[in-house]
Amino acid sequence: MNPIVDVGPYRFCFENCPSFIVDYLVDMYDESVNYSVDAPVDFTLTIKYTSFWRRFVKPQVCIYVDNQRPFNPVNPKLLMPSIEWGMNWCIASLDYSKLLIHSSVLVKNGKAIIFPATPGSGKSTLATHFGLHGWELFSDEMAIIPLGTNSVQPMHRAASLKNRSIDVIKQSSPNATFSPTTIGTHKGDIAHVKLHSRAEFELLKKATIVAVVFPKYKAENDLVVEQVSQVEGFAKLIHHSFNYSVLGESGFSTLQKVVENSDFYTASYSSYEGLEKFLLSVIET
Amino acid sequence: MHQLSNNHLVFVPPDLSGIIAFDKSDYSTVFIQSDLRQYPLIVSSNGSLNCDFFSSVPEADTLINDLRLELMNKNIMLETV
Repeated sequence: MNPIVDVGPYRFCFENCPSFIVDYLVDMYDESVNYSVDAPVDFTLTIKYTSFWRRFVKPQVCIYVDNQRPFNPVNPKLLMPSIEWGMNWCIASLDYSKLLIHSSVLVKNGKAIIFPATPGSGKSTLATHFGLHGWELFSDEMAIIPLGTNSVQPMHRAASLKNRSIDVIKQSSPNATFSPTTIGTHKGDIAHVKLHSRAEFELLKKATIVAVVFPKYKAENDLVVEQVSQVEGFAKLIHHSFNYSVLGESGFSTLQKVVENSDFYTASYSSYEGLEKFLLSVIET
Repeated sequence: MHQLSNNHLVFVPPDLSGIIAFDKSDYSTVFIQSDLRQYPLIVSSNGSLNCDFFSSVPEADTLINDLRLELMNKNIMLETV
């Protein structure tokens, strides 16, 4: 039987899944992993060795998506993060039914703040920290915005941490469930953190986007927040969107709804305490 | 008199920081940054551009006149007889 992971808006089926990947999926996604084929699957990811000999000599596997091979082969030791990146790729590249923005999403009291950022800006670390300390983390990777709305919907995914962020979160949240750390990927060392049980995830409801914050971690700097105009904010959201360019009018009108109901800020920070005060003030206004 | 091009969707955000236009023919998006806070009448009730506004502003108003020319050069707004 192939495990199926139901992350909320999408269902992934994993074929030829090695047992250590099944264990990983169960650790991170608990009851979101099932073997029931009573509902359609959105994406099928198949793991195959590149050749018979590559099982034994310099082992290499490929992840196929619906029988296409979009990724380079990887050492099986790198499969855990590769599976997660493959899932992200499927959503970002193949879903045109929602506006997708490369962003983490934090929610409090039904109000969402989205944090679009380029890789390395600290958005996943920030989102994971707050997701484990009183905020609802809808995603550390993408904002999923149903077309024609200014709301964002949750996704049951583990948060991805890189390099020093792994120790930062292990120190601040020692009781969280961490995956084993994968050493030596092209992004460095990677570990994943479980944010919700399935039962906790099912309590999350769509939230209204009230603000967009472009974060930047700067060590030993005081919190610096600057307001960004809505025109500039609109342009930045397009820059961080995965699929705006193919959505046409519906993408434009969806971003229009988001922008006309949101305030935009850049925030450079070094401490979570100061940043949280600011985020709470945004939620309360 | 002026009217919006049929090819464009136009959005003036509530902070009046400029104009955003989407071209339906090639899916491109044009941004014009301009401080329009002293011209609240430039936005229509549905958040689009109020073309009638341009007729009500004196030609000596260089900011609005330049904006009008830019919108026309980009074929976002058309002049009608």
